Amino acid sequence: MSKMQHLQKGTKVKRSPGERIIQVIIYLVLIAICLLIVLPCLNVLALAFNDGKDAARGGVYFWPRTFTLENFQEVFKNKGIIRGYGITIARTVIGTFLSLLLLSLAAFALKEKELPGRTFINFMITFTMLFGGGTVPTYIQYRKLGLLNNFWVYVIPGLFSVTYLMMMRTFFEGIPDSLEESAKLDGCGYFGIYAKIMMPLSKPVIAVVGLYTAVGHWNDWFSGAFYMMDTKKWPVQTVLQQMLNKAMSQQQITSVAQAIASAGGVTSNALKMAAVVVTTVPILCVYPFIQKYFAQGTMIGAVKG
Amino acid sequence: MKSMVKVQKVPIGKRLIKFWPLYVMLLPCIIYYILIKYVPMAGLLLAFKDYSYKKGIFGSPWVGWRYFETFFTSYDCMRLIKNTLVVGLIKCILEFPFAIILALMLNEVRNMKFKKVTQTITYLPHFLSTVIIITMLQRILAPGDGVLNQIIAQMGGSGDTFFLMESKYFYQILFSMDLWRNIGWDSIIYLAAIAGVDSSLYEAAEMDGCGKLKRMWHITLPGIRGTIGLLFIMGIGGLLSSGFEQIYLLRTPGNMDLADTLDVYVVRIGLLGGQFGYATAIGLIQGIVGLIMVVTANKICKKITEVSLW
Amino acid sequence: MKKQFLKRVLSTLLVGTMVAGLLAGCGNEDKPSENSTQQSEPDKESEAPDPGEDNQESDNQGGDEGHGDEWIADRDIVVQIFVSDAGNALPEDQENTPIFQEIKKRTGISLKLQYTPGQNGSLDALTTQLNAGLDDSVDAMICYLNNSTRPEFPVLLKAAKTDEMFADVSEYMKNSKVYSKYYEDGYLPKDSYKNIVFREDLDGVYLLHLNVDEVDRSMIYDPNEEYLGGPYIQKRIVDELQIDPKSIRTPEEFYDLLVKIKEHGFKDDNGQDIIPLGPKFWGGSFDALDWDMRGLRWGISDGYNMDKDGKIYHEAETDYIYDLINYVRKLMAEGLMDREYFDKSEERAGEGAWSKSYGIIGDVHNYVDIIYSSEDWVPLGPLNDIEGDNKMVTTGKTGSCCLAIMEQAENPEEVFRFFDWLCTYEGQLLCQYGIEGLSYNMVDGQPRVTDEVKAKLNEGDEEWLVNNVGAAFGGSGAYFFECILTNKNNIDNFGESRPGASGGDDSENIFARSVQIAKDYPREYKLKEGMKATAYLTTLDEAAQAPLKEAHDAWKEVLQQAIHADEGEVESIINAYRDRLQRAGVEEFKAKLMEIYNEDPTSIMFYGTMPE
Repeated sequence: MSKMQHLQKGTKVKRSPGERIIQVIIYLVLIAICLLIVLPCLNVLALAFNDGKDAARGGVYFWPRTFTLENFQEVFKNKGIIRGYGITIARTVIGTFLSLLLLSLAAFALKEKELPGRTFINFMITFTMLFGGGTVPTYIQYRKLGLLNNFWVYVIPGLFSVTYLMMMRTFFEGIPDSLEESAKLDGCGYFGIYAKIMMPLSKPVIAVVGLYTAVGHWNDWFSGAFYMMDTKKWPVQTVLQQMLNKAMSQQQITSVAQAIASAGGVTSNALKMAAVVVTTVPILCVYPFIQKYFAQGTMIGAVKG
Repeated sequence: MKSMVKVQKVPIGKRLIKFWPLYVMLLPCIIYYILIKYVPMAGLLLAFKDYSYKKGIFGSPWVGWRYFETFFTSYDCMRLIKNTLVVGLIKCILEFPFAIILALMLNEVRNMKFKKVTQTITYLPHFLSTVIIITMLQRILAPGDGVLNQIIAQMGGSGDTFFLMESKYFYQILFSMDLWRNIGWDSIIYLAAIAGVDSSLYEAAEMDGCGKLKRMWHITLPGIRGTIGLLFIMGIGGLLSSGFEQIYLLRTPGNMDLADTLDVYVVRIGLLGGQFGYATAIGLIQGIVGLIMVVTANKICKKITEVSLW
Repeated sequence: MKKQFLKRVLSTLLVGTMVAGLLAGCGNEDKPSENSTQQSEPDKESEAPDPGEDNQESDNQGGDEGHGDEWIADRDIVVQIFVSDAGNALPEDQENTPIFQEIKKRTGISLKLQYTPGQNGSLDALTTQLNAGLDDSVDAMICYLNNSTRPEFPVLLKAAKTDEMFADVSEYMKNSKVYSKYYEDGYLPKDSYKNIVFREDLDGVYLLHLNVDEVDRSMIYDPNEEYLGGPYIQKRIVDELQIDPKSIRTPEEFYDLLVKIKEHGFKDDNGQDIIPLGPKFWGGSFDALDWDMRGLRWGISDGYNMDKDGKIYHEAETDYIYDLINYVRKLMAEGLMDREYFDKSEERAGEGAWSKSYGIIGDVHNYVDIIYSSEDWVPLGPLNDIEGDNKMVTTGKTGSCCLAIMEQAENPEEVFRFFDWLCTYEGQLLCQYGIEGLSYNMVDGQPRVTDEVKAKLNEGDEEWLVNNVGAAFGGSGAYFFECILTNKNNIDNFGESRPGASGGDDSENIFARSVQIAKDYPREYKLKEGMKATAYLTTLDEAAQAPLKEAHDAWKEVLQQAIHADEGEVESIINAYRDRLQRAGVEEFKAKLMEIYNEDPTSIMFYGTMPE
């Protein structure tokens, strides 16, 4: 990896016992945190793969006692899930890409200290973080913009976020001016600086904002539940939420007929767990690809160069 | 960075022309905020009106400060505000350093496999819904057969405490649960910021004999202070808006004196009760307090770190 | 390297799904059916003529040539649904589902159902949309509304009165086939008549209460349909202690039973001691007290009642409330009642029940699998209420769901006539049973579902029923067609209480035990007229309503607080609440109630400790 590792491997510098103790403490604390976190998650996994009625008797902790894939079958039996995945993937990809593009452009512009109106714009944007019109005015506006019952209601309202915008801007501000100056001397316009200098050096923040945005899209069930009348256009989270609500309403059965309707299903808890697994696993698969951008040392080449 | 040489200020007209590509870059952003955020903000007027669909936002009759009066003279208002503040302080200030510490710790890990696995594990809780987490919590804290009580019993205690029902444990439970859930996810941005710190600084420091802790304190932390400052300011804006679902689900008759915040109240009254004016009024109060906090924090941050929101 | 290759594959996949997703997402909604309608017995065609296909293509043929007398108009009717049971049971492809096709064939109407779930069972979606305005294309809407005290009602009322969003149907209602019955004296429940349909402060009829039975059968006990809620006790306890569960009636008897159970030392499936009284099956609940401590629940009118001195009180103001609190505290302190009775999560409560860790489940019913799948549980009681008998209270006829036609609808009369037609005999036959030959056959002049449908009902295969037929089948199928009906009388019309109820081998029926329980443990009903006191909160002016309403909402929690508090705090908690009621204006409210009661004693429900 980086030169630093070689250094630390103990060639030149002596490692004091104090350092080693700290290192050990760090490892121990991290392991403890991991255990605290992993164990409950294993519980979820175990329950997802366990027969619901059997699990209802209690005692299933970290390993399924009566293994079954039935819960997952029940989840995927619903045609809406497959369709929902399609919608969710589409909105995540499109939404994240657009967000990254537009956010970075705006952040780049806002980092320029000499830009007239900069303070004003920054303030106005931050202001929106604290004050909002509320559900009803927002709904009315979305209708005016034609966003209701439309795929783009998933993408457009989520395009910008104050936090992410400022994160990017701060990051850009941390990149030395000297790079930009030399590029300007070479005759690069602003778009050029953006594309050739800022973006390549900003991989960490792009990775993080990309991840946060993508997960935000992935997890959003609200838009589908409030702004989409056509049940065929629901993202997978909304479909799942409906499925779970339906399973849970068992206790509100007040007629024999409804009891009949719900008799064929799988227990609601097992379904809940399977749903969690189904929605979490895809994102977990994405993370490793992004992680490498957090590695230290991405700056070295640029500065020396 | 502030430069020492006084730069001659270019007249604004010339700057507008010089920076025109930047304005183009900003255009989608400005359009977005106007259309999606500012137009609906007219809805803030509802805090002063008796809204009716037929008359619309602008046509509805004006009621002035009525909702505010009702709120401030209501039975619960002081308690609600106090509760909300305490919860806000816990979430925004008390919890704040932990994600940073975790990021620092993870940064020190040399073994890449361990690092990857640990990171992945730490952010798993972020994906679990609040409902599931609360169920797990209930199981752990149950009187009698909950894990925590059993441990206490083993160590000689009564093993009978009904934690969730007693207000004296409420804040501890809330804090732990929130921390457990967010620490991993929040640390990601700090890790990214740390990755941006020039590593040559570390080499130099090590040459000078700087220990690990000293390096963290003198290099890493200052290196990411922009990010820290930024996230702190953003967080503090939400001081009075502590979130709804979590508190609502943790709430029991035993701790309900404390587990009653403005957001919980607003949902009960506003959305489910249809009283939008009232809900908007409270939202306005939350927003104003948040604004004051953010402006103050921004000023302080500017002085300390030279980095600020605007 | 490998990683590069992986990346390339992933990105192509992503792009591919993105494109696919785009097409799926943005494309036309009415794609031809993805073959969800697998009709296994397709062509046992009905007697009705078969211009089915033609009718769909032929637009304005103009006039009524060739249309039956059920014909209404060739148009769309778009209904926005705010009922989650209905919204969750909609066919994949409405246009090509048999019932929709049949509707179009007979009436010319293309019915289009839309659903917005929101979060809290559609209440918030309803509130948002009624305040932000429904889509222009919507012709009618339907939401939950069992009576006017439901939270949906104020929202509906405002939309009707202040915002004038709905159409006045009184003109055509008087001459309609079914809805005209609403005008009949005594047909509608009082609350529906006075507060919903024919409100005095509305100049017309805007809100139609649905699911009103034609004939009041609420006092009749039919074991085939009875749904027995309340506490259930383990059969082995009954056998070992040799008690008759039906004989447990008073709080004292209940207490003695719990003590006996504890002393006997029963063990659950894990070898642990059992808790005599466990929580409701679906998790901790306060309302289970209405069953388990029935004799101590004095405030039967949503916390209010009239005492022997002829005055109205909230139960918090009386000493009766201490009887309840102390009883529960005693049970919990002596280990006779689960301390998490009010808050256990659903999952853990269920676990406890399944592993027989409770001697008595606080509240469950006979159509839940834990009860009907074995002989382990039998009903306990029911316990006596404050009147001294254990009859179940019924209020006579009820309604549920509310229909409103939008002002903006094109030709609201047509829309109204359509819903009216759905409630006629032919309409109900279609809604409940589906298509003749496809899902039912006429046997001796009465409809009986086909064997295939019967099998699906037994399996609980809702998806098949909804997509392949689309009828309601009593609520087990497409629920929309159940809740849109009114003037129901299945027994007289169809000879059975719901489709599929009659005939068939009982042993196939998974609910055989449920019915058996109902037969072995019959209950009686008593009729109590009047609405609960809090329904009249709206007679106060608006500013006075809010603090009282909040106080009422807080009462259950305050009670729980008192139950769990330390010994010395109980009284101060109750006193604090009494103060709160006073400050909220409870005296004024009680005076109002007294007025209303004196005018018509049957308008408010009071009983148990009434003056002689």
